[in-house]
Amino acid sequence: MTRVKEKFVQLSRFYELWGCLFPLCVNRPWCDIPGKCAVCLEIDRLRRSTKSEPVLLALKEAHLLHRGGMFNQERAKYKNRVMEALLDDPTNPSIMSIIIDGMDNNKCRCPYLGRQGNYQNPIPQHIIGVKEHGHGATFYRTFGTITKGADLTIYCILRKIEEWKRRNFKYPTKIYIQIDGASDNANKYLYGMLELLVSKRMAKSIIITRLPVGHTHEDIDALFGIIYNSFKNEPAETLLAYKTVIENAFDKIGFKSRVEDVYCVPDYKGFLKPVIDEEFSNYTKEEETQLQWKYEAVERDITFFPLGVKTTFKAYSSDKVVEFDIQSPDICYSPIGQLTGLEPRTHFNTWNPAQYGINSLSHRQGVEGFNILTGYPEANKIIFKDFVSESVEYIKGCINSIRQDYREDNKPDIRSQWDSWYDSKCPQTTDLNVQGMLILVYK
Amino acid sequence: MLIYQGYIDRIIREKLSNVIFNPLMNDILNPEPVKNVNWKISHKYSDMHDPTFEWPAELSAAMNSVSYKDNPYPQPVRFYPQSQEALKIDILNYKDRTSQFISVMKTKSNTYLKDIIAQQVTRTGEQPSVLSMNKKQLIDRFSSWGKSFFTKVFTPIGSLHSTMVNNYFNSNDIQAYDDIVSNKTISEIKVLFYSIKIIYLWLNIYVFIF
Repeated sequence: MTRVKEKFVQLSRFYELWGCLFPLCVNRPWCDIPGKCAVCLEIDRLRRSTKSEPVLLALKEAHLLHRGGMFNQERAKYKNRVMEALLDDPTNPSIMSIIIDGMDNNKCRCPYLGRQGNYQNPIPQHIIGVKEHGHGATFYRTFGTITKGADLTIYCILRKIEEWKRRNFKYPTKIYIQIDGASDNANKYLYGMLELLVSKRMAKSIIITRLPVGHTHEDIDALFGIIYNSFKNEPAETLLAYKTVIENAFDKIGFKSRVEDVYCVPDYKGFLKPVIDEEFSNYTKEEETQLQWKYEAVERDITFFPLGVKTTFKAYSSDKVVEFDIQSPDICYSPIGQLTGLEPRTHFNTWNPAQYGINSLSHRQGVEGFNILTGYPEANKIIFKDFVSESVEYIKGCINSIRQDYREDNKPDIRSQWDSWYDSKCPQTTDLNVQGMLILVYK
Repeated sequence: MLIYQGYIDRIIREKLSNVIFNPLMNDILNPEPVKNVNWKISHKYSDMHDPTFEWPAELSAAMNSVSYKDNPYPQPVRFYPQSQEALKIDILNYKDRTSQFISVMKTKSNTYLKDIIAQQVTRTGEQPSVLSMNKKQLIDRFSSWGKSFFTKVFTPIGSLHSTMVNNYFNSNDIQAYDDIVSNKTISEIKVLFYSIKIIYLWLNIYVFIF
C-alpha cells in the first residue's frame, strides 16, 4: 500500500471545506463537555496544563477509556432497551420505553418575537418532554404555577402510562424509564411511586435508569434542539401559536408530537411520604449513586415483601464498566495512571441488595432485594398541589402587560386568544378561596 | 385546604377538558390490585430464598456475620470494636516500647539525633531548630513526640521504613524493633551522602593541584 502524499491547507480553508463536506456536523465547544464529570474535568485540566507528549497521549487514552468504558457501555445498554421496545409485537404490545427530560427555561418564553426581538414581560413556560420510543413525544408545558420536581415528573410518567393504556386497553408488562440525574427525577418519591405501581400490578416490572453524571445527552435532547431551531424564523405571539410551531416542526420530519398544558398537579409527595422507609437514603450520594433500579412483581410475603414488589439496584446498567480513580501518580500501577494520576479500574456491577455477602442487608440474609414502601398509602384521594406562591399574581401582571401591547383594534386575533386563555384556563387571583384569604391575612 | 382550591372547583364546574388531570388515580387508590393482567409472577419467594444455602469455605470471608434464622452459622465478625482493656494494653505497650526506643536513642550521638529531628516538618512546612540543643533537650524532644510522629519522621509515609515503624508499634515483633533502632534506611542514605562528599573533595583537590 503506497502512502498518498498529504496536502496541507490553512485553517480558514479547512473550516470552509468542513462546512461544505459536513454541513450538519458542528464542533461542539470543548468547554461544554467537562464540568459535572470529575474525570472529564481532570482530563481537561491536565490537557491544558501539560505540554509533555507522553502525558498527552496517556490523556487521550484515558479519555477514550473513560468514554468507551463507561459512557458508551451505558448508552449501548440504553439503545438495547429501546430496541427491545421497538421490536415488541405490534399486535400484542407489552413493553413501554420512555425517556424524560426538561427543556432549558430560557428558550421557552411567550410571546416570542423571534431571535432579535425581546418581549419585556413574557409568560414563563417550562417544558418537560417525554419521548415514548416508537410512539412520538409529548411535551408537558407549565406556566410557573408548578415547580419542577418529583410531583411533575411523576405526573408526566403516569400520564404517559395512561396514554399507553388507552391505546392498548391494558397496562404494559414491562416499563423502561430513562431519566437524567436531576433532583426532580432521581428522588425517593419517584422511586416509591414506581414501587407502588408494580404493587398495584400496573406493570410486571419497571426498570428506571440514569446515565452517569456529566454524560446525560440523549435522544430527547435532539427533540429540544428541533424545537429550538423551529423558532429561528417563526415568532409565536400566543400560547396556541407556540404550541402549533412545535407540533408543525415535528410534523415536517414525520414525528408524532403533542403539547399538553399542565396547570396543576396532584401532591404525590404528600401522598407517599408517610409510607416511604425513613432509612432509605444515600441512593444519589456521589460514590454510592445507583444508576439503575428494578421493580419486579413477586409473591407477597408479610416479612420481606409486604407489597409484593422486589426492588433492586445496580451501580450501572452495564455488568462491567471502567472507572477512574483520581490519585497521586506515585501510587498508580497502570502506565496511564503513572503519567496522569488517573488510575483506571474495572468495576463489576451486580444487583443489590444481594442474598448473602458484603452487599446483603443484615436483616434480610438469604433474600435478594428490599422494599422502599413500608405499606400502602392510606389516603382515599390525592389532593392537588397548591400553586407556587405569587405565581398567579405574576401571570396576571404578564397578562396586563400583554393586553397593553396587543390592543383589540391593533391585533384582535392575538388579543382574543390571550383573553380566552386567561379567562377560561388560567388560574386567576379571583380563584382564591375564602380560607386561603384567611391564611394570607394571617400570614 | 388549598389557597387556590377555587380554581380547581371552577375548572371542574365548567367541565373544561384538557385542563386538569389526576392520571391513573382510580387504580392507584383502589385497595385491590389490577385484575386484568395477562402475565404471571415468575419470581416467587421460594425461588429467591434458599435457607439451606451454605457459603463456600473459600469465600466465607465475604459472608455477612450477623446471626439470623436464614444464616444460622455466621462467620466471625471482621471488625472487632476495641474494648477498654485492649486499648489500655495498647497504650501501656506503646509507653514501654517508647521508653525502650528512647533508651536506645540516648546511646546515639548528638549529630545523629539532630539529623533525625531535622527530618521533622511541621504542618506549615517549617523545620524545627536544633542548633543550640544539648543532648537532654534532644531526648526530651523525642520523648514528647507522639505515636503519629514516628510515622512522619521516616518520610515518605507508606515507605518500607514507616511500615516498619508501624509494625513495631502495632505488634510484639522484636525484629521490627531491631530494624528501627538500627535505622537501616537512614544509614544507607548517610553512607551514600558521605561517599559523594568524599568524591567531591577529591575532585576539588585534584583541580587545585593540577
